[in-house]
Amino acid sequence: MRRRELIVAGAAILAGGLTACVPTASANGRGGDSVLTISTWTAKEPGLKDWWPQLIAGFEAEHGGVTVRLREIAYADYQQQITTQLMAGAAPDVVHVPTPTTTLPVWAEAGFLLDMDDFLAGTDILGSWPSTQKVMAWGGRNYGVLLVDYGYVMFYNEAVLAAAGVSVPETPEELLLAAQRVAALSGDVKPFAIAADNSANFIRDALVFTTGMDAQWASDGKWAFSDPGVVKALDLWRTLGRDYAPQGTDIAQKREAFLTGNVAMMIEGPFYQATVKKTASASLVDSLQIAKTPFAISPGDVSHGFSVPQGLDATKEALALDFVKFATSMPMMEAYSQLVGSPVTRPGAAAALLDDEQRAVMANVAENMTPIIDPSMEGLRLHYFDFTQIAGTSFHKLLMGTDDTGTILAELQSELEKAGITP
Amino acid sequence: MSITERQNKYDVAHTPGNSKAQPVRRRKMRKANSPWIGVALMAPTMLWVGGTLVFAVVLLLSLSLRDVGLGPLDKVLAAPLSLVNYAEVLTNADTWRSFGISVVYVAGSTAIPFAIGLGTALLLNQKMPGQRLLRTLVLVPWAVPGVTATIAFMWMMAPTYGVVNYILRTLGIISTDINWFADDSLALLAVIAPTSWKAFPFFTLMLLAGLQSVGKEQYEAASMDGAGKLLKFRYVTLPALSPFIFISVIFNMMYAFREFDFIYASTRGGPAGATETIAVRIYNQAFERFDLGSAAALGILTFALIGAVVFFLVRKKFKGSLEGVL
Amino acid sequence: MTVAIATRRNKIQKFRLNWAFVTTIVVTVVLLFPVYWMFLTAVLPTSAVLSRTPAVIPIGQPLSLDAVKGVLTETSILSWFARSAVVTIGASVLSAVLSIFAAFAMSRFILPGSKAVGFTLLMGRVLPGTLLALPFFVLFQTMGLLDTSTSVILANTAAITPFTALMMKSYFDGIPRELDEAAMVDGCSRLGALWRVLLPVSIPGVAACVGFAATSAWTDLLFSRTLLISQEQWTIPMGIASMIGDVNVNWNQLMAVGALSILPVLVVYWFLQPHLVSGMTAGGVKG
Repeated sequence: MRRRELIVAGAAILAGGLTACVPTASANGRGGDSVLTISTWTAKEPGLKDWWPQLIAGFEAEHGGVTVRLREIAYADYQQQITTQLMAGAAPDVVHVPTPTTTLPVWAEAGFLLDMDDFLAGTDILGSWPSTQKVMAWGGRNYGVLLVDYGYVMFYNEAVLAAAGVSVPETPEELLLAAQRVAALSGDVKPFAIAADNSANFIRDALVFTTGMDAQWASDGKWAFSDPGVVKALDLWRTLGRDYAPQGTDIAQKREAFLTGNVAMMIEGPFYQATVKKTASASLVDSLQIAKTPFAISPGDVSHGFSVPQGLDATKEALALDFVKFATSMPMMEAYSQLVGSPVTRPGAAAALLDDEQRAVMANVAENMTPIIDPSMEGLRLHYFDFTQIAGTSFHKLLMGTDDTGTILAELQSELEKAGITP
Repeated sequence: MSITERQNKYDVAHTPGNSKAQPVRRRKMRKANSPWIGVALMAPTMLWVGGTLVFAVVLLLSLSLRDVGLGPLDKVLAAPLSLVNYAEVLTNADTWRSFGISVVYVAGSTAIPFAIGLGTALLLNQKMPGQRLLRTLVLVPWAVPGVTATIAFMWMMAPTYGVVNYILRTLGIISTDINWFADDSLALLAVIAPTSWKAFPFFTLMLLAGLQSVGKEQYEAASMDGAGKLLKFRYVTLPALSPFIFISVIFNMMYAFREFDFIYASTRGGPAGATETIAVRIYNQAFERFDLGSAAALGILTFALIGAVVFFLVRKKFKGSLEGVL
Repeated sequence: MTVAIATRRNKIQKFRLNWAFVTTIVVTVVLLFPVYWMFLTAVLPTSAVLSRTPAVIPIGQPLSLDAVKGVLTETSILSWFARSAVVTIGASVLSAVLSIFAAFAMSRFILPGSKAVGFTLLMGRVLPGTLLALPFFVLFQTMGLLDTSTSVILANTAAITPFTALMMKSYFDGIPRELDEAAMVDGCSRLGALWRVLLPVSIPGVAACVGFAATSAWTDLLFSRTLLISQEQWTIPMGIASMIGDVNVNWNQLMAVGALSILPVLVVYWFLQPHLVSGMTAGGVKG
């Protein structure tokens, strides 16, 4: 009797504890055909914050009865969450792909993404998109559409450069000279900033110098880090990063150092300009300008694209592809370019940027940019993490160690060969 | 309830029969014979905790036994069985280096907060003005969300613009900035610091609660026997606290072993692998290399290893002193 | 005469109190410096925080509560708080009930396979979060509970209970068995003995466990980010994580949300304190 009472009491308390917190909102509908889900990490980024509602409203207006739901995921969690959802067959209907250079090959290789070649044949995308679209392809098939690529730009603090008596550097030599002049100023302003953490940004910031100075660290499917041009370019990056930049800055601290006036120059993606204009203090904001990078070649990168997962039912798949088509259409891409204030991949969509002198810089470098990692380097793209680990160790030695640049890079060359990774 | 009221209650409750020098030693419990009520009471916890654990371990085990890095779950689980992930993990020298780093990291991230936690618990167990407020404030670091704490520490420890180096420079302790996370020899220490800071209130609270299980009469009895402060600590406080110390230390070690967010945000396991603990390595394998199979294999292997250690602890070494715990 | 002795004793006591008090104040100030720095980051421009000469004492600095205002108007912080509150209360209550029953069973009954029970509880928290994400996602997907607070409550309960159950067991073990036997002689059932006798003298242990459960659930990011999908379901740690964008981060607001999120937990700690005094003296006997 007592025993039964006890069990009943325990069960009652448990049930009480559970029902006290019954599900309060219905699950994000994946089942109904009229709901289309799209994942992104950019819902709150400047400009994009206004683009998404416009895009969704436009698509819903064209497709009566369809509701588009944005599945927002924090940037830091994005890859892990989407990968988990893809594995469990619970991915959104349209997947926003970050850093497709490295992410797309892995997801495509795993069989998560829909081969979009048939769909693309019915659009103008393959015909008009620049060669950077190759980054959304893997093994010769397209698994997505690239939305944005860009050329890096030089952010500079006009007032500091003026005080140092230098004009905006236009060659690597002038860059070093400007750094020396700024360093000679009294006060705490540092000349330059790099991402000096242990992330992919660290590698990226160094490779901007090699691409810009036309140095090839990979050619004919082989590594070429001991190439004299590569040594020269990375030696300049090393000098700036070690002697003329604040130490240990991660990507956020690097940008913040420029934004707060602690640092006179940095090379970054043009999209950061929107944040600079929005958040820099009133006394600084007019001084913070952008220019072409001080290199003969404009180094650039791809930013993000849209893919569709495999295994959707036919109607949903058609709807998802329709959405991709709509998002990459001229009006939506023009809206993107205007709202975010940076270039997009669709040719001609960024024309409005040319009206503004600063934005014209962005549009021009984007047009003529060379990606720091060529989409055709499939070995590198698939094993990018191993590459960053090995290269990161060497680049770390460049910043912290005393061996000369040639020696360290020769070591990197042999480490990469030993690891069996090919570009 | 005021202190005097409590004191009075104690006085009423105090009986001379309890005045032995070491009454704290836990006596062996006589337990009820009919197990069914106990089983019924234990069942919900075992079903849920044990059930989720078994589910996770079985799923990870089956993932780890396929030679597929990444793919839809149904396809991965349909792949033929293979031991390739285990071979890879066991033959990779980095696995063992990571293991060593984890041991140091877990030891540091447990010893430091334990010392701070025990110290603060003993201090806050004294009567003092503003005791309630101070006890509340000391626990604050525990409540800080991980993401916020991570950024606060990264900014504080930023080499050129951080406040930690600023204070050290101002005090004349350093002349050149310390690059906390990039210096091979300091990086591990630099990631232990915030982990310890976040963990010490856990010890403070648990040990403070443990201290309340020591009756006043035990201290008084010890005083009557002429024991000084140190002896009382050794023979009254410590034995009473030991089961609480044991489980707090064990669970904090497991917390430190799992901890990944701060290391990942600050060093990503670098420089040159100096802070790549097992938890960071598992993340890197799973979501940077996208080889979930080998990440699962590494997880299963460490799970088995820790299981063996815990089993050994439970069965042999501390059999006597563990009576109170298991 | 008696008065004189009493005064002297008072003085001695006062001297001792001050010593512990001063040490505690110093230790607290040092330990809370990072929290102070968080608050400063919320109210100062970042240029005063990330600097060669940071404003350690912000005199003459442009302190501003704009970030707090901005957080309240520009983010869904109230919804995050509400969701976190549901998750925290649910997980705390559920884990407290489960662990009190489990601890009572382990402490007072001969359980078949009791070592296995203890072993399972100890091993329940070994696997790193990276590896738990997928199994928990699949588990709750199968149960149809994805994207609900219930899933996060249940997941947190599974994570909290191993510790709280063993903690409560240690507490019950310290309480003499004669107490429950006496109660049962007085006509209480076993459950009655737990409720009327064991629990009242174990209040400090329960309080510590509630503190642990509330803290764990309130600051949990692992389970909520894995299991919650819609923005309306987001908890506070998810909201904070979402504020760190790829390009744009409002540091003041980020720290302001962090600081605000501490307050409810502080209230919990504050109300737990009176229960963290000796349960033995309140309850009566110690064996």
